Amino acid sequence: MYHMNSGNPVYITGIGQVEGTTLKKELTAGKVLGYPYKPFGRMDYFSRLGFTAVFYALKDAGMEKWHTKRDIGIIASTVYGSIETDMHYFETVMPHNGVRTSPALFAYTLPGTFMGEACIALGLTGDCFVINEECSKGITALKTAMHTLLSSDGTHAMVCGVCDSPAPAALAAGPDFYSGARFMVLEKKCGDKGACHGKLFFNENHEILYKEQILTDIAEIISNRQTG
Amino acid sequence: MEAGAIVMNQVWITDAAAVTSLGGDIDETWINILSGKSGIGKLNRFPCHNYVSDLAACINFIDAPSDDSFLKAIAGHLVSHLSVVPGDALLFTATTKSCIDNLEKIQRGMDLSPLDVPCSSIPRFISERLGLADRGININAACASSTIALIQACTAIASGRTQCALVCGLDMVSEFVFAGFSSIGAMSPSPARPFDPAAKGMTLGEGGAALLLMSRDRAEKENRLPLTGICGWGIANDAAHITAPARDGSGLIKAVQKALGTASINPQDIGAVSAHGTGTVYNDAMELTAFKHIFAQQIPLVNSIKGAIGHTLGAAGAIEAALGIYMLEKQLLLPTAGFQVSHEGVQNIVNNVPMPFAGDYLLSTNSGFGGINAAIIMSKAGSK
Repeated sequence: MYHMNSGNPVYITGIGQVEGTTLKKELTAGKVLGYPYKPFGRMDYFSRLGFTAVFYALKDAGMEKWHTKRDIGIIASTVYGSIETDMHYFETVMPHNGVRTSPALFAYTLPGTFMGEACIALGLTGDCFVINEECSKGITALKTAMHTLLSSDGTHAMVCGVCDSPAPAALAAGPDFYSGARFMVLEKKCGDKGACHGKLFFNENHEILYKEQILTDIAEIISNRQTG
Repeated sequence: MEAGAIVMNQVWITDAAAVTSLGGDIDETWINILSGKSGIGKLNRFPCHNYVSDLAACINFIDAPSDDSFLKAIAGHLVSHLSVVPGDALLFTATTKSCIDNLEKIQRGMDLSPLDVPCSSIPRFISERLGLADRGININAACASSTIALIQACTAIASGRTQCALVCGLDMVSEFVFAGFSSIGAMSPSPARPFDPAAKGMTLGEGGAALLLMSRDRAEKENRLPLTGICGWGIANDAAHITAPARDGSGLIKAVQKALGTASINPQDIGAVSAHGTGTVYNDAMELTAFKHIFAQQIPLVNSIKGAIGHTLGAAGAIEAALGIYMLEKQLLLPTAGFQVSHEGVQNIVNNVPMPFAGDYLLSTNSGFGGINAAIIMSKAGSK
C-alpha cells in the first residue's frame, strides 16, 4: 500500500559537486575513482560530470563501496541534457546518409546514460530518471527524491541534484542556469559512516524547509562546500 | 496537505487520448490493432539505404510543418482530443528526444530557433496550449519515460501533493534515432515480431498519449467517471549494462514486485500483462525470464503492441496505458502482431489474435537504456 509520512525529516548525508569549467582530461577514472575503470573513458563530458558528482556525494556519505547491489536511486534535473553530444553524434549521421553513424556516441544521446553508468559502477538499483526543466535550481529533483524516500520502506537512500555541461553557444543560458553537477545523498536517518549536512522537511504547502527557511535552490546547500 | 499526514489517495484515469500510426484516437487505434492491421510501412522521411531497415510506423495523417517540429503537431493533435483539463493540473510529459527534428534541421543549416530543442520545450508548449498554471516537467528515462511520468503523477496524487495531473508521452521517428538504433544492431530488417524466437529486432514507431489522472475525491466532485484506476507502481534499475537488459531480469522483477506491493495484491491477481515486447532478442528473453520468476508456473496472458504500431520509445508506456483502459474494460488483450511461434517453455501466453482474459488488474511494463525498468498496475473501474 502506498504511504508517505510527509512530516518526517530527510537527512543530507553526502554532497558532491563538479564545476562545468573542469577540463574533461581532469575527469578520469584514476583521478575520480582512484582506480582504473574502463567505461569511464568512453563517457562524454556531460556523463563524466554527472557520474563524478554522484560518486563524490556517495563517497562523502561513506557509501561508495559495495558488495551487493543496493536500493539507491538517482534523480537528476537538467536543462540541456546531452545536447552537446547530440550535436556531435548527428555530425556522424549527416555525411554519406548515415553510413558512418557512431554507435558509441548514440548511447550517450540520452541524458540518463550517466545514471546507468553510475548504477553499474556503484551497484545502485533504485529509481533512476532525469527531469528536464528550464532552470538548474534542482528543487523538483529534490522534492521527487524526498517523496521517493519517504514513501518507500525498501529504499536505502536517494541521490539527487542537477547536471549540465556548459550551454551550447546557440542557446542563451538564463540566469537560473548552472553549468556543472551538484548532487546530494538523502537518507531517512543520519548516516553512521558519513557526514550530516543538515535535514530537510516538507511544510504544509509542500515547500522544502532547510534550516527553518524555505529552500529555493539546492545551491544553498551545496555550493559553498568543498567537495570531491 | 498537512505536514505529517499519512495520505494515500486513490488514483483514477478520467480522460485519455492517443495518436498512433494506426489512428488519430484511441478508438481507431484499438479497432485497427484488434483487426490485425499494422501501421508499419516503408519509410520515406529520409534516405534509408544505409540502414538495417527501411521500415517504421509513421503517422501519415498529420501534416508536418516545414519550419517547426513534427512533435509539436503530434502534441497539438493529442491535447485537442482531451476534454477540459483543469487549470491546476500538474503536467508531466515524457519524451526521449523531444523536437529532435529541429536539431537536425539546424545542423543541416536551416535557420530555426534552438530554444525548442531541449526537452523542456514540450511541457512548455503543452502547458501554454492548455492554459495550465504549471509549466510542467519532462521525464526522461529512455523507453520507460512515459511509465515513470505516470508513476510521478500517481505519487503526486496519492500523497496529496495535487488532486489532478496530466501525463503526455510522445516521440517521433527521426533520422537521428533511426540511424542510432540501426548502428547498434537493434533494428529488424522486417517488421518486428515480439516474443517470437525468430525475432530480429525492433521497428520504430511514433505517436503519443495523454492521460488525465485525478484523485477519486476530485473526480467525484467534478462528476468525472473513472476509466480505470492505477493502484500499483514500481521502478528499478538493473545496474548491469548501458544498452542491454540484465539477462536475469532482476530489474524488471524488482519493479513489478514494488508495483504489486504498492497495490497490495498478489501475482495471481494480475489478469494480463501489457509487456514492453520490443522484438529485440535480449529484451524479449529478459521479459520472459522475469515473468517466469514473478508468476512461476502461472504466467498470465502477455502481449506487445509494438508489432503493430512500432516502438514509440518515450511514448510507449502512455500509449500502452491508454489502450490498457480498453483492454481492462473489455477484458480483451490486443493481439501481438508479428508473433507466430512461442519460445520454448512459455507456450500459450502470447498470441497474434485477440485473447479474452478475466481479472481486475492489468500489469504494464517498460524497460530502457541505462538499465531502467518501470511497472504500473491498472485496475478495472469499480475495483481498487
